[in-house]
Amino acid sequence: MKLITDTWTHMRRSPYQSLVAVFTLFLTILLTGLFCLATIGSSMVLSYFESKPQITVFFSDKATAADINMLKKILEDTGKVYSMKYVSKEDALTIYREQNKRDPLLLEMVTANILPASLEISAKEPQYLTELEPLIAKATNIEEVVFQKDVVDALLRWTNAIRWIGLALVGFLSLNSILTVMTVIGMKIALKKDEIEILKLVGASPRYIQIPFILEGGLYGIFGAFASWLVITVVCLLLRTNITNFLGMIPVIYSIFQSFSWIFVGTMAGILAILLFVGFFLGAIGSVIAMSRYLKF
Amino acid sequence: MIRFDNVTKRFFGHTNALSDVSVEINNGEFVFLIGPSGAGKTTFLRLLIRDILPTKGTIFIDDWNVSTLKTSHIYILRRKIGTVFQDFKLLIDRTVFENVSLGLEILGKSSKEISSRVMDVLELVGLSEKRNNFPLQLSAGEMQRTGIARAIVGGPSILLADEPTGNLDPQTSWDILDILSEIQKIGTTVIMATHNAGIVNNLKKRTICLEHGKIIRDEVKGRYHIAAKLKERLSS
Repeated sequence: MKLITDTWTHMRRSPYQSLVAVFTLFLTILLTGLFCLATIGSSMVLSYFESKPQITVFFSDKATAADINMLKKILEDTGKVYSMKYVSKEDALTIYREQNKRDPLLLEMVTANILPASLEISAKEPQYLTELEPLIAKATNIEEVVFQKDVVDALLRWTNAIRWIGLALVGFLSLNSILTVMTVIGMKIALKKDEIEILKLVGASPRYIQIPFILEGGLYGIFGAFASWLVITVVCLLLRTNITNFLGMIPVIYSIFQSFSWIFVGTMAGILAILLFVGFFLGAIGSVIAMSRYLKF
Repeated sequence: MIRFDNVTKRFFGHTNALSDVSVEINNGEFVFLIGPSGAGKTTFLRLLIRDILPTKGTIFIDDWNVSTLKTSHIYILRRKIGTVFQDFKLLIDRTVFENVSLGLEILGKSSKEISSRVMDVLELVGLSEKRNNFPLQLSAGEMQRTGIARAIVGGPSILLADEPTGNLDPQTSWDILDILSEIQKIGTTVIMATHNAGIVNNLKKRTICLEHGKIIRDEVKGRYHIAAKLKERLSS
């Protein structure tokens, strides 16, 4: 406890240096948090689309049961199909109703007749899709064929771009934060040179002298991380409606953002724990480097 | 027991601060280190606390070979040795109580134990009334007594005092000597570097005289020789 109060006193005695360190760490951790959320979110969207059937064949209204069975048989005979699911017009209507249950106006205007029946196909291996494609194209009474692969590829490109840009930016800002903490702690070590010398002479262990500096760097990180978490929480709360409207079809995202549920609280608490750890780690690393540079035993 | 075996210390580009010094100091002894400025008194003390390393020779404190002690273990050695400095080396932003308690805080003692032990020591050096004063609110003698209190609070077996009366008036110097004598009586080895001829001559303790880094006299009941004092005055 005394260690914490001593560390707090050190921080108060040079408030501007402390503020610079906290503010730099705040920016770093804020961007780290936002990019991590964006990466996790885009990965969730990606895996959602990957879990969907890879090819969806929409039949025209003229398609008969024989046409559909014929296509199913042709595809089954290849031995390259993992699963096939026929979605009738009635099934399509049920799905549509489930997806739009919060909008009665949309439900009133739609009947089973205007929705197409479809066949959802998943291949055993992604490379088989190109072999199945010409067989589907030859089939009769088909209105449209949707390849999920195109959507997944586009998402993958976006996810990778977010990940790499985020990593580069977070890496740069982390380095900047470590250097800032290192400079601030280095200045404090210089200011406390006489005190450190006395401590050494009276028999203080290296750990006794070092721990307050490590704690100080760590506390800068913790303050920065907490401020970042507050901003992220406020942003999430403000964008809650937009997120559920845009990505609500993904069950995980919907259950987190639909209301002030325990899942939301748990998620935010988890994010706080991670950010605090990252903050403490960055601050402590800066301090350790400063000590190895300026505090010799 | 403290033992110097043929110890030489040469600072870079200078002559020897200590030259082939061999000496033994028994536990519980009171020893004066005298000699003119630059004779090697402070070097002798700095070698004991491993503030510097000898260029040649070995130094033993009990079974510890100070010369080969690992850097990571120096603090353990320094906990056995209390040091009093001529310039006091007090933390000016801490009270007398806090300065003295530093010697116990580093040992990880409980607040209760620290409080009780610090009050006992402050009583011994006559500073219990000034425990809440900051160093700048104290006289030189009081600052030195604070330094002594800090040095002995952890119960060291050896007390080194580097010219502790150097900045003090005669009466205060004698007060400090009384305290150091009391500390020796409880079994602590006291080694005091000094220029104060009056103190050395009156106390008649073992006296080691250094000159140009060599021991030129080691007397059981030593005294400051007039010739040496004159020489010292001329050199300073």
